Amino acid sequence: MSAVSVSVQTADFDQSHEVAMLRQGRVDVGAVVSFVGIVRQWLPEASVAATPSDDTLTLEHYPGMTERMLLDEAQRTAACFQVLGIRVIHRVGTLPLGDQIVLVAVAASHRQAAFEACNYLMDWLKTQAPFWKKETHAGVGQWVAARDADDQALLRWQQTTDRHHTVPLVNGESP
Amino acid sequence: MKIQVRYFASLKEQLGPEQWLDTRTWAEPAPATVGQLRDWLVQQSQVHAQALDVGAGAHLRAALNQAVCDMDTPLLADPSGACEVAFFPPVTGG
Repeated sequence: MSAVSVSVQTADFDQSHEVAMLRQGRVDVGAVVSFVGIVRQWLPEASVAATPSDDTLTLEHYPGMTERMLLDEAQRTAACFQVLGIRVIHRVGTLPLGDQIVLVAVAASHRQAAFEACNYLMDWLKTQAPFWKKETHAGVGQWVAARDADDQALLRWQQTTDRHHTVPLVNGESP
Repeated sequence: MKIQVRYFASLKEQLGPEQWLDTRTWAEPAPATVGQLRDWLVQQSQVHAQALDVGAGAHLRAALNQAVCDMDTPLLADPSGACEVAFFPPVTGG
């Protein structure tokens, strides 16, 4: 039985602590892969002042639906890639440059499954989880547009995940 | 049927705080599908029409009772007789 847990929260997280929790009390874990997404400066270097920036990224979600979709998908991912544990944390609210946004940590018996499950879940998160990003520079906010490249990244998993997935896609081709 | 309409991200911002959570009770005939509800909302004001015109409508996304759906999805109420429809742009998390 795999241990899957997800959180949507405003608070920051500690990657080491989360990985330790994922492994706690288990001797069947042979590999942990963890990914952390970070708020980076999205503007070209030339267009921003050298002084510390007050640019921010604001994340909105659909309370209730987002948490449930994340949990469902993390459970499907654990079954599909046969991993032992998954921890997902996604932050919401307004975050400064350099802040952590998202954590996906996967524990498995062997490294390949851990790498693949982590990679897949991030591709899914980027294109299917109900979160919306808004970039604010010099007090002016702009909603981030969805990227085709992210949709393509998810599609390459289709054969792997088809057996476990029957839910419709949010982004990608219009219904 | 009681329909609660919610908007997220750019749609929520365009519609403003008075509009982004909108509960309407319909005498029959209520809209039969999520797409018909969208078409009805578009007629309500210029602001609705603009907000729901995500990529000329092609990029508008929706959920019914907190599950992703498409515009052809029938508007079904939960056992309490209410249903929740959300409209939003393509997602950009991660």
